[in-house]
Amino acid sequence: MATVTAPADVDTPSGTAAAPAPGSAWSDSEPADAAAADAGPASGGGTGKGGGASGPAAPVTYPLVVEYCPMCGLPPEYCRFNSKSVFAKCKPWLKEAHPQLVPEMFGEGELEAKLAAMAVDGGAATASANAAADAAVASSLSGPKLVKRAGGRSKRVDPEIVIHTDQRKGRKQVTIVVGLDLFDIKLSDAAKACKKAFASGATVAKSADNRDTVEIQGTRAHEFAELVRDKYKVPSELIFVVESKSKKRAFP
Amino acid sequence: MFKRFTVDESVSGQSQIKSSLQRTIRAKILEQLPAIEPYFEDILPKKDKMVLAKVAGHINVVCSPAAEPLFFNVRDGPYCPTLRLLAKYPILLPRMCVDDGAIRHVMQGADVMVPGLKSPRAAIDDVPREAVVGVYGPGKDHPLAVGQALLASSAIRTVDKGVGIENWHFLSDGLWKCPTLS
Ligand SMILES: [Zn+2]
Repeated sequence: MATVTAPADVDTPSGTAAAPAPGSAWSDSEPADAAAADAGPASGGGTGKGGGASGPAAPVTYPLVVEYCPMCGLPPEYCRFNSKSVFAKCKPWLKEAHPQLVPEMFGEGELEAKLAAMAVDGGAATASANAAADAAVASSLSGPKLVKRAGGRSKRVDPEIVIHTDQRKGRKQVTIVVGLDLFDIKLSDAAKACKKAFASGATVAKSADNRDTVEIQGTRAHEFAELVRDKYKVPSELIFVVESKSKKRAFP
Repeated sequence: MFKRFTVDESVSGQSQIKSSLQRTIRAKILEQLPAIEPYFEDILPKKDKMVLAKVAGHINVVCSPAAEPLFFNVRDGPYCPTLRLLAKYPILLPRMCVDDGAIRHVMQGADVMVPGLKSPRAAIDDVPREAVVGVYGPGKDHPLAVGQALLASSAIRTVDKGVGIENWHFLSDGLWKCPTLS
């Protein structure tokens, strides 16, 4: 499977390697640019009150016209500091508009290594998709998982199920379960299973920090822990119950 | 400061402000950013009503009548131009050039550490402590972030570690993604 994804991606380095000339120009010219740029605004700043048009060579008039990349929205100079996947999208435009900013020189070996790593990752992912459900659980054990957070940000979270109770209106208790999604358990299924097992209400809800949770009416923490362990085969050492503000293993 | 900024969630109110307050704000900006003088009329014409947006975290954002963010400050702190404005008028702030390796971190909101300002490709203007500065990549025309120097340039040149510039607003943060606040 790795070999399927590889050719498409490897395309990029070979394509970039075809144009070494702009690359070397880029690396040569940059220090000079740096010096010029440093000198420019620095002196401009000193004489700013006088009009700012007293630059060393050509008089600069403000406002400068600023160009932004149509793909990532950043100034083109900073396109290459995007993630690799975003920068790949910027590249076609950047090659047209600012060929000197496409750093052919910069770490082709590094790029290939990254691609290789990605291909391996991809392979692992597809393999586990083909395998049975407990294999999926096994792969989720292998490391922290990426969880989407508010504002499109992602955060790595260790795969574990945390069960805590909370109070609703008056003395009503609810049991809240966080982390089921990390084990590829469908939350609506889990809620349904709870309804059946406990004969109580259970819903899928979003927590304040935008995680998907299952809310069960009543205090069912330990019962639910048994349910996820037995029905969904989640390893018992990854199930935690929060009691009197401390997080403990559900099955010590 | 604006990493999690969104117009819907972070802005608690936008209002046109009284002309007396407007004069005070203009005077303060002019005092802090003297280089703005010849361009102030172009940036924010006197006759236009400026809009002040209140943002979570006691931040005030001074906007053009079209709700384009131009300057911001915290409580009564110094005014700082937004990156989009600074890009058009780079003379507004002193220029602090960081090392290549720091760029990616600064673009994720990290403060600029002193070592990032000391490499051979880094270069810094002379600024006093607490100056508002623009942060640039080596050889770049466009600012990467704006922030406040926590150390004077002379101190940055002598110490070896710690935070040099507090990152207030950087490329691709929430405020950057809002060319207007409407
Ligand atoms: Zn781009």
